[in-house]
Amino acid sequence: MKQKFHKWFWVWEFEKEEQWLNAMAAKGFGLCHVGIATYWFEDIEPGEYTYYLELAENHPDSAIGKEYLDFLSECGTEYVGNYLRWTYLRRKTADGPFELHADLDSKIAHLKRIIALVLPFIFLNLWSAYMNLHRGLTFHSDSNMLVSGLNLGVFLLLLYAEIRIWVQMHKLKKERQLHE
Amino acid sequence: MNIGNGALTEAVYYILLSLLEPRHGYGIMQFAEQLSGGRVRLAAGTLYGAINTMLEKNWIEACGTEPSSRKKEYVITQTGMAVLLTEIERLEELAANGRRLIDTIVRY
Repeated sequence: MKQKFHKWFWVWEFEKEEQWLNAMAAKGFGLCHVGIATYWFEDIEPGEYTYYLELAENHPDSAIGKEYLDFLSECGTEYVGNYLRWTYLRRKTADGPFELHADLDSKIAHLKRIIALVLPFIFLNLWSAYMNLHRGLTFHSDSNMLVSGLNLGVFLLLLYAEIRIWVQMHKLKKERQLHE
Repeated sequence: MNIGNGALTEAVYYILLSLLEPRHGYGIMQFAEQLSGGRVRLAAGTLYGAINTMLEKNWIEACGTEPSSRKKEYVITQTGMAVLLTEIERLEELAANGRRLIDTIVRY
């Protein structure tokens, strides 16, 4: 029987989201479909699948994206669903540890993609915060001031996220000087 | 023909070795694991990226697909062969230098 769950994760919480999906899988709830902040679970043997969340290079609906998913399925990794380019994958736990990116180079490339995804939203919010502040001050508009404040809040949140991911990537880059 | 002279990643090295005979993606993973006694487990995402880069560089090429499936098979090219031989020479130099110095300096 399928069960529906609503849960929200911020963009930098992709690892937490993955951990949550794997904790659910351990309890016998296997993710089988994804929507906006919505997760559908089916009954599975507890721990039957290991889940992995990837920001794909190409949208799963594009030709190249499909080709990539076909390749993964050939290698025993099943596509579960996607939210934009965020792709939810699973693999039978019995097939061994699930690492889609085992070497440092491709882990670094994955984090770079996430940084590039978030970056435009940082500038957009900063720009909007500035424009609304400007209007708010010029026309003594409380609503503009409020929107400006919200934009500033989102800007700071995203900036914090970006820095955290960047630090993570930097650590891997240092490691890369010693290992592959 | 630019084969470069940098070190190959372990994944690329094992992919080239696997493709001395035509293989598809999963076949490469299995062969690399078997060849290394279970030590090298190529991750599917890494493998996909490496295959595409190696196709662009013409180190490997797609060859006849199995008629019954859509699985693509790949095989090493002459350029890839040259890359592989250069790398083996480099690895031999590394190992030989290591052993020689350890034998002469550490043991006596």
